Amino acid sequence: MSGLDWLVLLSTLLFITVYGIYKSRGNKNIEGYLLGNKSMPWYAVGLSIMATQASAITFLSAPGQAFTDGMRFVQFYFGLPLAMVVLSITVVPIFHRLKVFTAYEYLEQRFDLKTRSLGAFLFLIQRGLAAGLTIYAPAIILSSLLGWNIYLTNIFIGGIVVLYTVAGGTRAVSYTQLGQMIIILSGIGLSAILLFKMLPDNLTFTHVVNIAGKAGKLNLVDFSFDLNNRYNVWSGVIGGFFLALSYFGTDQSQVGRYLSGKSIAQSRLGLLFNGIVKIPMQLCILFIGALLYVFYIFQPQPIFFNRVETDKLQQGIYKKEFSVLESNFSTIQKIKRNEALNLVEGLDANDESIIKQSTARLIEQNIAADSMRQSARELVKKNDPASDSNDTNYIFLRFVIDYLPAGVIGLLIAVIFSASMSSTSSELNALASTFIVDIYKRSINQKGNPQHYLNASKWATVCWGIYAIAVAEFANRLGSLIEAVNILGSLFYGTILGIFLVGFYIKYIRGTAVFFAALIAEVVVICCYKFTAISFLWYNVIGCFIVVIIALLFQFLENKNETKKSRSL
Amino acid sequence: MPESNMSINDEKPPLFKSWKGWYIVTISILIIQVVIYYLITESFK
Repeated sequence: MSGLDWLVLLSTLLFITVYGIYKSRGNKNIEGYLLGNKSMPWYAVGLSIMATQASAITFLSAPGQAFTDGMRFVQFYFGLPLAMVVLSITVVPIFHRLKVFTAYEYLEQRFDLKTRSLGAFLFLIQRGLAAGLTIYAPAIILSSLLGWNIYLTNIFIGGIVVLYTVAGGTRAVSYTQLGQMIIILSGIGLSAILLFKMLPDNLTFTHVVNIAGKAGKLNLVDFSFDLNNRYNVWSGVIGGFFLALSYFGTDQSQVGRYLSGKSIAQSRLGLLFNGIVKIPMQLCILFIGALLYVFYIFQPQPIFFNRVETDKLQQGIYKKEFSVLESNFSTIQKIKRNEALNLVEGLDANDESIIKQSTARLIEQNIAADSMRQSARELVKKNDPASDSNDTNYIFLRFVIDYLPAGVIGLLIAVIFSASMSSTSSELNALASTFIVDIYKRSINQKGNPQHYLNASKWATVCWGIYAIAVAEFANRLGSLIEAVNILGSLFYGTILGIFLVGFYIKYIRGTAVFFAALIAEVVVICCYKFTAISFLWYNVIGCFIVVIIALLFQFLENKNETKKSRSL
Repeated sequence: MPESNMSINDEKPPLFKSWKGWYIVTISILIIQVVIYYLITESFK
């Protein structure tokens, strides 16, 4: 990175920290610190919701995902607009009417204290872990750029986020998210434009789309039904719907965002805005991955994108094997380049036979290249068993560092940091709110004064920050970060959603039945993850249905017992 | 009618007469996107 890049990056970090501290002025009680004022318009609610969900993980992982696996990941978001509609109809008016601070307060009003505590507890576990991954995402940038130790980098980045969040509170989180989202969208656009401009001059947009499409990178929709297939229309619409319903309906980091809307209409419009804009935005980010695939046909592609690991290999005992692998990979890349140019010629001449032949050869070379990349991954692992052998998260990052001009690198890295800080601060704020409002203030100390709860909230934010940093230290063993976050969410969301659905729609069921049904559902979901190959999106459906069905059964048995007892009396 | 319920019922959406309009728009955009993405996928199969 040049001096200009450092200037852009550091001034942005400094601005965010100072801005957060500046905005924290006047927070004299827990309501101001954790909730802010209910004063946000729909566009701010919508952008805040999007900023909370789209962290640096989205920006770093998704292009890499499309580069390796094609754009089929977009199907994951198909259930989201449906969930936004359902939440607008049901959850938004209920939460506004009850004037709750956290989603879990509703559970005590509807069921009992133990169900509220269980809901809050499940949220704290999964969101605490997810916050760790959000910190880890920008930390890999610095470690890859400067060769810093990833563990120390996590502590450095996490420390800045904690400082800003503790000082800022909810108000600063909301204000900064608006601007950060605008920067993120500009960053996506700028990356796509620069990437396209760097392709050979004779390539038109149609050529690029055709090369990516023929190579299988535009595999947007798959209608085949397969429980073990991670991304298809059915898992996206059904599993994604349940995941989005749980995430936006029961996760305090999102509930807190739309509860900040100044009216029900503003909250609803914010959610629907997210439902309309989210898929196209995700498509654009994934398309950067498809563009990268074409870019690396015409530019030398590293066999493994994490430079820290390849440097270690080049100095280690496997350097000869790695060198041979690199040389073979380079030969395949040259063949791929020729086939891509043949394909362009065939497209220009509209010659079907050339198109078919060059496509077949291009796919053949892709398979060979993938196999070599797999060998490189194995070599990385053999060289250092503790290393990260998955380079999906480094693909976009490596392009930024190697090819983008001075100043733009700093800007894009600042965008990634901003996105990550925005999500992390929102998560830490929600963790602190839930812990203080639903656990500490409700069950541990009900007699504190406003200053005491304000201080407790700040200390809770610090503690959750330390916990998240600890989680970040182990995140490099989780593969694609964006998948890891969603798998983690799916382990808990189905159960939490089941509790809320029973609360909203099945008045017959009471607290004890739903509490034990939720415990059983959680055990079943964890067993599905451990012992079956069922795709993670289905966990949301399984967890939710088990809660509903077992709660119905338990309530039926409880009522039967009560009837027997009353008869015997 | 309690004050909170009144404010909920008075929430009129912009552009449409009722919220149904916005829900239909959101779902229609989703369906259109799935169809377009399907056509793109099929054209490269």
